Amino acid sequence: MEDLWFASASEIARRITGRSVTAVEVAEAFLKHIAVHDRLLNSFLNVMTDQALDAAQRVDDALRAGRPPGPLAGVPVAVKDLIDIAGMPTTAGAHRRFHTMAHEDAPVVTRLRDAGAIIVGKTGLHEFAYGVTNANPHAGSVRNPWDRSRTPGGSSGGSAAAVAAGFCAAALGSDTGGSIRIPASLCGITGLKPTYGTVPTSGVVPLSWALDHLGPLTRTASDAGLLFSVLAAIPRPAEEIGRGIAGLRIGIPRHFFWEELDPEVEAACRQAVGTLAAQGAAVLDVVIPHAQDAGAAATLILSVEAAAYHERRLREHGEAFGEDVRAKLDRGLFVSAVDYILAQRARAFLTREFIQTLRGIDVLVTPTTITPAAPLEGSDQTASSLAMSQEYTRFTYPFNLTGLPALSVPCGFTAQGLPIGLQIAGRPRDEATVLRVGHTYQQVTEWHLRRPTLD
Amino acid sequence: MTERNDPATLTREQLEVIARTRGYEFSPDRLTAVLPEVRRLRALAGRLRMLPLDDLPPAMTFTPP
Repeated sequence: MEDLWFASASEIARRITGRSVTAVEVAEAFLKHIAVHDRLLNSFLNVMTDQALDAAQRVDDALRAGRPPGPLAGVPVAVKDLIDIAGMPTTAGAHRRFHTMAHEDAPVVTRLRDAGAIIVGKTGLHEFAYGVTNANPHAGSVRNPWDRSRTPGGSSGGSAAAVAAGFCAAALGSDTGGSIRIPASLCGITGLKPTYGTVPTSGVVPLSWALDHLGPLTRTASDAGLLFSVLAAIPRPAEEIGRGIAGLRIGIPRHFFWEELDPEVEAACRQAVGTLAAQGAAVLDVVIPHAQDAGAAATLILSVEAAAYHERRLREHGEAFGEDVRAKLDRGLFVSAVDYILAQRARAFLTREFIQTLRGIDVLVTPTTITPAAPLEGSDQTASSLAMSQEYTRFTYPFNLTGLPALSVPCGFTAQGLPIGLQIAGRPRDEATVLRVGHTYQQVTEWHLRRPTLD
Repeated sequence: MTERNDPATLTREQLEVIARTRGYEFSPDRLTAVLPEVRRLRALAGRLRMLPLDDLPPAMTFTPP
């Protein structure tokens, strides 16, 4: 059964549907793995043992009764703990004063359950999803499975660490400035931020209504497509994903997106572009003239919207926030309405610029992050947390601002054994092409198959 | 009207006045912690003012396409 810990979601569903293993056996194996090893990583805030076993039993019952169990039959999935699951607290990684009890499932959880997925637990995050380190003063830090002294990235760091460690085959994350793609990159897994609005965000603690996205963290791009089809309630783009990339036009925005990189990140990502070219894609240099301003617009919008959502909590219980998150929230109270609208206008301007660039190409390819995973030590300090947010969101923010779909896939490791991620972004609602590039890359590379040593 | 637009010159005392005008009372520690970030946000807004936004059609949408 241990061979399934690192199997893809589709492989697990195939074996359960084919009756070579039961959903209960799979759930038990994953729950045991979590129980033994998660004390090292702290990726889960809540493990839902009884609920998972009950759900697995229902999948097995459906199979015995000849009812279709769904495309995620028996697949263990974890859920970031800002997404409501009925009967469970939603902590948002915050002080217990701010925890709420969910009375119904968020729509994304309902869709996962309807597809046969087994929810195994709720994962840790940066407080209120407002940061990239996952150093959390309330719940403790989540640790990177590849080096436990380092950050898993965030804010969906628990979800990424759990998938990387083999605690689940997939996980749900949210992404407001890079919070799916950054931890996917730093933990050596695959993460998809879909097009803005394609996956419902109700039943989820918001950070910024204009920038929030939900999406899957998985082992493979193919699995990301499977999860995305369930979350967005659309047909699975399996055929499209498997078409190969011969003739596809890949744009490389060298200005801004390929500057100031860690040398090992740059080398790995350049090699990945070469691999894509070898598969028949045309690689073209492109220029997005004002790409470097996307982070400014996104930061202003996020600051104001997060402050608006948390204003009452800041007034009444400001002491209950971690220092870094409180500073980020407080700053939003000082932005003028004119500056907020200025940022929204900049967003329209930049979105037009990105989409115009994508008229001549099929996807943009960039590094996901400027550097690999940083040490956790000191990352809980306000100045460090703020600096890391700026650094790690540099290449991911633009796709939150513009709402374009973006995928991170593993593309190498540093000499110290830290994962490196490649970002692939595409046109609005063209997840299929983005996933097609990621899948083709994973057909000819093995970075996504590497496993961390947990003992 | 003229604009005083050098974010680096914003002082804690000025920030306190802005906070009070908006109905907020901050402890000195919280004001000190947020001051560099408010300066940074003002600098970011200054960058966005350099974009040719007036070339856009005046209609606004608040979500991406």
